[in-house]
Amino acid sequence: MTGRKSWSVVSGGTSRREFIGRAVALGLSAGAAATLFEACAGPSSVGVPGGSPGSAPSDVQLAILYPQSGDIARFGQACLKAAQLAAEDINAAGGIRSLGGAKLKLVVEDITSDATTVRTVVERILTQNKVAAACGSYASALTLVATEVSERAGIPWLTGSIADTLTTRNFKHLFQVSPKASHFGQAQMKFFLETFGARGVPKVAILYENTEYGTTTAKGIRDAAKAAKLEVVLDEAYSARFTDATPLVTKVKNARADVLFPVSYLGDAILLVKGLKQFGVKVAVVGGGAGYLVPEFLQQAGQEGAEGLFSVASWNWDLACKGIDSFASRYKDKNGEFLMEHAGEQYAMTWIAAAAIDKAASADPAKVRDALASLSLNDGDKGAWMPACAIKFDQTGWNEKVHPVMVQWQSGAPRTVWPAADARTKPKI
Amino acid sequence: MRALTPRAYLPGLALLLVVAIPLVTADAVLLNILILIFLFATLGGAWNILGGYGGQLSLGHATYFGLGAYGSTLLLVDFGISPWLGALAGAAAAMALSLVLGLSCFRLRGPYFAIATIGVAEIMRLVVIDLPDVTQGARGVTLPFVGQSWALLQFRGKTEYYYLALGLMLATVAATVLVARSALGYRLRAIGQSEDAAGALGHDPAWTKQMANFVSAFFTAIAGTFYAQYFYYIEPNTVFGISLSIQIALVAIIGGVGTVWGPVLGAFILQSVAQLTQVFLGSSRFGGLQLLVYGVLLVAVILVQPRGVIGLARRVYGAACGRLPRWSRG
Amino acid sequence: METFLQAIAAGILIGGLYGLVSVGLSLIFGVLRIVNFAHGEFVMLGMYGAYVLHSALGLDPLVSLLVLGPVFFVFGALVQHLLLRRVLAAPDLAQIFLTVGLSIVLANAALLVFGADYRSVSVPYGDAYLSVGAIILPWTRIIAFAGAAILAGLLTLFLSRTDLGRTMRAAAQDREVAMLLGIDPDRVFLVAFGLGAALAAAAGVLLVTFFPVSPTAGTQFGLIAFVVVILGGLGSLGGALAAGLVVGVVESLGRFYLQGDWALTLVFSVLLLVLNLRSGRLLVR
Repeated sequence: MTGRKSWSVVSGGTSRREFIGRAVALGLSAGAAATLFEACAGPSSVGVPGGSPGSAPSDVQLAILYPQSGDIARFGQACLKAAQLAAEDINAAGGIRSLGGAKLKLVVEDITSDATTVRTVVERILTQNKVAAACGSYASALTLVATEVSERAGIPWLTGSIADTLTTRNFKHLFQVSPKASHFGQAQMKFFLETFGARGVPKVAILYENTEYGTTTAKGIRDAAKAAKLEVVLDEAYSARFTDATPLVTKVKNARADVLFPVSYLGDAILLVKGLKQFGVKVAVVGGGAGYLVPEFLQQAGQEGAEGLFSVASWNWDLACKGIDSFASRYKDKNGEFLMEHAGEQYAMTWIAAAAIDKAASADPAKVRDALASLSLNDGDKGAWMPACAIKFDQTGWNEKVHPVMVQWQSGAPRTVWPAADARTKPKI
Repeated sequence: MRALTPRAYLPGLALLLVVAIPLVTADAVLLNILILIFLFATLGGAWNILGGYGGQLSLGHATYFGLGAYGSTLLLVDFGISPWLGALAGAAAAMALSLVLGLSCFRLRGPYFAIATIGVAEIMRLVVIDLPDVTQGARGVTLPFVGQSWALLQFRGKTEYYYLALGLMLATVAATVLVARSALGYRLRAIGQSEDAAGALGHDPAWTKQMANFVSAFFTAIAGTFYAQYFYYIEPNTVFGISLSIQIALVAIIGGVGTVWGPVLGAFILQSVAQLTQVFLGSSRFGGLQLLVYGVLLVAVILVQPRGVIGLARRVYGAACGRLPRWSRG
Repeated sequence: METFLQAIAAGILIGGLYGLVSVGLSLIFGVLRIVNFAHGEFVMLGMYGAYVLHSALGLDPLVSLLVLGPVFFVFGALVQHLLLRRVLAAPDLAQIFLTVGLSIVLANAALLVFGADYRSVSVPYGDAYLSVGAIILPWTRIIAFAGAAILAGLLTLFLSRTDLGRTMRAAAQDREVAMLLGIDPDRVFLVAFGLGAALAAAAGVLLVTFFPVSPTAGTQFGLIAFVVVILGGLGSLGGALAAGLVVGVVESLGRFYLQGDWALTLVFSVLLLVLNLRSGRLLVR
């Protein structure tokens, strides 16, 4: 046999090259090891709950998947806090009764504000954890991607995102508790016409951020305006990360619009509202949700800046449903700010998930999915905390009972003012 | 007398191992990691054909990737055309763009060519965002999953994707070998030495580089189609983004620019970094750490070993071969 | 007409800052012959520097400029001394990708330290504006422009009146001759890169009163600086300042009259056009 080279020990002065060579070899091996470790650390199959048949699991896991970083981190963080409060409340009330009082445990992960990272993260979480269901993810763009993964994995997913396209994909595992984006537009238009009456034919301006949320909501507004035979004088998409509102504000001013329907996240909402004020543009503003409903909006626009502003919303902390006051005020006491739109929905969704798990008497995602599909909650039931105070999912997974509401900033908080059945406050014109 | 040396049997073993992995395990996470390695090896390898062998350093290769992804996806979603055909359409578009870029920009010096490629990629990204009626703009395009289908290039599990990605990577490696050892490769090397002298030999240097450009654009676009069919969602900031363009170049540079296996090694290293950072930090910060390490690696490679890690890897490999058993007949 | 004037005015104000960023880039190129792909990140670091000083000590950005300017000068000099020095004679790939790598490191270090969330600096005069007829000019932008103009003026004085400045200009014009005349190239390079970095960071400090801070905030400034410098002529400082104003106005007109991000597409198209037209100076041969 040809001889082997002996691994000569180099005394003193290891050449830099050799050192780097060994470091590289070590690094590559470490990387390979980490890769294999990471891969082997999780279960090799998807979603099947553990425990032998007949024994109740001690914890039921619910995945809470929201962006905790990036431009929309703010919203995700609030949703997480709401989920945590709900889980505490559920466990304090006895947990999942039909599973012997099993506790609800949250599996939390930051899916970031970036749509491509979402897919990898969600896939990792759903394949490495046995969850009964999942909730998320605030922005429709993120939810669309995430639910592709959950549908394929057979995990039921609850969401407060509003895009119409969420429920047009023939999915069996998607459950949308909130109104659809197209309904927002109709509601905004209906409210505007009812409240401001017929003062001639108002000129409508629509400005919207160019991703899923803005585009689908704007379409709803556009269609509703056309149906009401109103003149749309400005209809423009913008990139939410703009830093100077002057061009957009100037366009609104030049178009001589009577009413502006802006659909914005937070940063753009602030800049627009401030810009309109700076330029003295006299226009009624009916906000499209999101950025117009957060506490920061009040902080940055100032109480006078925000006062009187209307926005459409899918949820508000003062809806006329039984049981809302309790958790809304506890959230406020605990976190120092009012319970925001999507966060409130997440509180409700946590309870809805628990109700489904209870009904299914199982943490098996397939059984939980069936339970959700046949679930029916009414005013007074735990979880029935969306507008109309009822939950019933249709075949596409949409909560057919729900509708949008209009809120108005009054005295430093957004208050529900329309429709009358959901409101406790009157609108101030 | 023939000897079965490690250098002869190791590559065979490695290939066998790689091919066998999906047959042995269904671990989705491991398969995903390997698929990403193959994908980035393809992208780095394609970049390398133009950058390493052709000498034109592009910081805008995402343009071809995006064209591939959007080309095949829009044809599928709007007209129901199979992604196999769509991939070719996307690749054709990418090659056409590469021709325009080559004709107008090849005579620019290194950094300015790079800046021009950045400009082209940014324009593509912005145009795709600003033509929402055609491309769905910033919302991106979701591919509908209709079930297991070879015709529509959609699969429930990872196995098929694994072999497709592996095949694509090996095809890119083969293309690199062909380019390197062919007359084209010889001419490219001549241009690298002196463009004027090469021109004096009678071959048009611009056209030679353009050939490399075509091959590079082709494979990058095909990888884009694969990405769309694997991730089921594409949006302009990712597939046309400057971050992706830089990562593509990184794969080749860190691995070994101008070599056949450098990009494969580079892809392996970068994915290992990505996985390590995910293991140690949560998602919220891991993106930053991962890319930070990429940046540090790049600076380190440039300063210490500009030809890439492959040189060191070869020495380690050589040393390992020296220690492994060998058999001789006779 | 008002819209037109508003657009022009807004373009000039931001153009001053584009000019300041680009002057640094042009200076670095002129003296070191290196295209600094990390230039935008120096702007971003300047923004974070001002943000940190503002939230920790309540310093107005204009005041923190006095501290941050020298800090970033030193930082730039260090980068030059430790990293760039080694690739000054290296092939294109090394030069390009060293600064590309640096930009990745800086942006992601900022991401790790500060997170991805947008930060802002609120100054008391943040919402105040000046009305000239129907044109609205926020004071923050006017002050930033003034700051940029002053710094540009100081730079010009430095380059024309001081020994070191004249040395740098000599080295930029003809390196070999300068060395023959006894000029120490290392020292000149240190100062040039330090100054370029400091100017970019200064622009960041000035921007912070009206531009949100994030790890990726610098990217677009880096890209626009390329456009400006190529338009104005690499190495020409006056060209960079003038071209900065031009690009600012072109972009602004685009934002006011076009939809979406066509303004940026316009700017990058100008870049490609100029690269092709001016390739005489940028050719391989």
